[in-house]
Amino acid sequence: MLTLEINGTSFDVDVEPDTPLLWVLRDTVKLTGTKFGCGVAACGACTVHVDGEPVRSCSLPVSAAVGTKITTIEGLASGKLTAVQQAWIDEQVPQCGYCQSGMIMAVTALLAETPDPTDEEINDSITNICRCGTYPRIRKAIHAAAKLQGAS
Amino acid sequence: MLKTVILPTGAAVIGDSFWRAKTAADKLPVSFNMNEVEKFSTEDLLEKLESGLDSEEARTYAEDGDSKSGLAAGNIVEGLYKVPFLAHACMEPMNCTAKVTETGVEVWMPNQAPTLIKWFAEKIANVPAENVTVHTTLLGGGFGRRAEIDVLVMAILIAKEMKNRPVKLIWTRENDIQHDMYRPAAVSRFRGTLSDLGTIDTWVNRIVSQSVSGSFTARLLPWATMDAPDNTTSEGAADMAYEFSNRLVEHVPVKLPIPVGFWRSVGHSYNAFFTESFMDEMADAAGKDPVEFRLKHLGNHPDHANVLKKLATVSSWSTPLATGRARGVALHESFGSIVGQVVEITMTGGKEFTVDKVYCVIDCGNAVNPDTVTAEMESGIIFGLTAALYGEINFKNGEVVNKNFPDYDMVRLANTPEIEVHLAASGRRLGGVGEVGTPPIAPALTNALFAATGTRIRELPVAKSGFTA
Ligand code: FES
Ligand code: FES
Repeated sequence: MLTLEINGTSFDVDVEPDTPLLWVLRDTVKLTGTKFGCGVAACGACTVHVDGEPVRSCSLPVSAAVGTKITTIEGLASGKLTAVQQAWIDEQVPQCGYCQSGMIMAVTALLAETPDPTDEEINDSITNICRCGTYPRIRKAIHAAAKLQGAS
Repeated sequence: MLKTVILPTGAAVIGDSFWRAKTAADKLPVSFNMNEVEKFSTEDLLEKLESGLDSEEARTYAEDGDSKSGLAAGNIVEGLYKVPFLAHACMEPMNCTAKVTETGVEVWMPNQAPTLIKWFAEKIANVPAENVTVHTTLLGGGFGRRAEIDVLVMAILIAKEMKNRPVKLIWTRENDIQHDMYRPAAVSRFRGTLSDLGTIDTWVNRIVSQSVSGSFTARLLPWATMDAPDNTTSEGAADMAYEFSNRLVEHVPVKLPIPVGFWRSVGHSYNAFFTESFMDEMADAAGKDPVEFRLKHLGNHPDHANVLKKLATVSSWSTPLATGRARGVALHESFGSIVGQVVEITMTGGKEFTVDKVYCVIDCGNAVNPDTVTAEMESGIIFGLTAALYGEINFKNGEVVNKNFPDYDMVRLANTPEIEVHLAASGRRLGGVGEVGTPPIAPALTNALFAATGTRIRELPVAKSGFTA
């Protein structure tokens, strides 16, 4: 039995220690907002925060997440949408939406480090895949979220 | 593990979680009977396609005037073009949940064809139609892939072995890339002549590919004959708006052991690249500006001419760019909408370049929700750009070589160009917007590369010619 702290709540999970965190989140804890896209850390659909750092959960053994604070898309907003989530709605970013939890988690982590990123910094840090090609709006929404965050 | 199930096309492991099932499946001692498909590779398939160029079996899809005399009378410009197989690679890997009981079947599936899914669920589960329930869920990308029934059939066959419990079938990304119904590879040969006025007199085009409708029908209804003419093979080539005195557009259907399917814009996805590249070659042969040259062939097509003129204005087409920068244009009608695109690139050294900006003008009749039309153009352009830059599925010894995103790459934020979309709704009949942004981007890009370097790219992806963005 392993104990995980996810979105501020503690969970005991009965899984093999080498199970990727992604599948523990989805299948065991039933938090299905985190998505499976490739399983090889190449697309970012499975991005969550581990102690505030963006991590591709398909490639992190759950044993490595024990004793950390895990945040998933479900745990991002408390009562009110975050600046990133609001900007995502304002700029009408999602199409199919499948990549967007991972995008939002990656962008949230970027803005925590770099509150007003340049396009160059965005390019270097947001390498997630969106097959629907929402990238132009993602870029706009990142700048909009930076503004919203700065204003609050 | 709960159970291992042997299927006609493979084996599945049922477990209480995906990871446990996948880990067990990876360890199964499976070997496949490859028989006649055992040895083929991409080169064999391409050779078969190219042999179709001189086949007697061509079907005529457009014929005006007298192309034979036309060719005999002028100096012939010739071009041979090729595109590879492509995977859909929807962001959400294929999946389907099924629950089979003694009397019925219930299915939860992200799909693009609920009626078809319901019908096949009934047949495969062998239950009365009134006991079939299909829940069509939200869908993480479709692009034509989710109109197929393969995953449904597997899910029901597996669930039959675990009656009264829902079983969720999840494919890995490797399953998805290696077992797609691919966009067919195609080759296309052009022969054209110019009149004394410097316009196209004769246009002869022969396309060779598998038939998508034939392949799809054969999968669904194996007992049906599938040699009927297939308009999707020549769509975008046979129905071009450009006016020529003599025109002949033919297609030669070739049978290959690769399942091919509907991929965002279907035949337009390759015919736009073929035709709009050759239009550019003819403009060059005539010594004319590519936009001016196209306009000369649109005298009776005011809507097409309007899109092209508006595109020239918004992209400042006639203002020269700085050294090292270049632009290319393409105009293509599909699904009732006319789309023109101009691509601006910068050569950054040798064959390296950046795609800086795409101008896009669309006439879809009326834009019911203009922001959705704009979003679909952005989406279609990036989808087509991924294919133009990197997209190719290859085969070796009867297996797909590509496995996952590291070897089937995608455009990402860093190489997404700025995209400026303009709506030019003329009030003509409503057209589609979901697919129509994809066809023009590849030729607009390769025409820009020609303008920049003088190299005419006749094969996609451009990476094959050493060009990288
Ligand atoms: S699913 Fe984890 S990076 Fe793609
Ligand atoms: S919105 Fe569909 S993959 Fe990003």
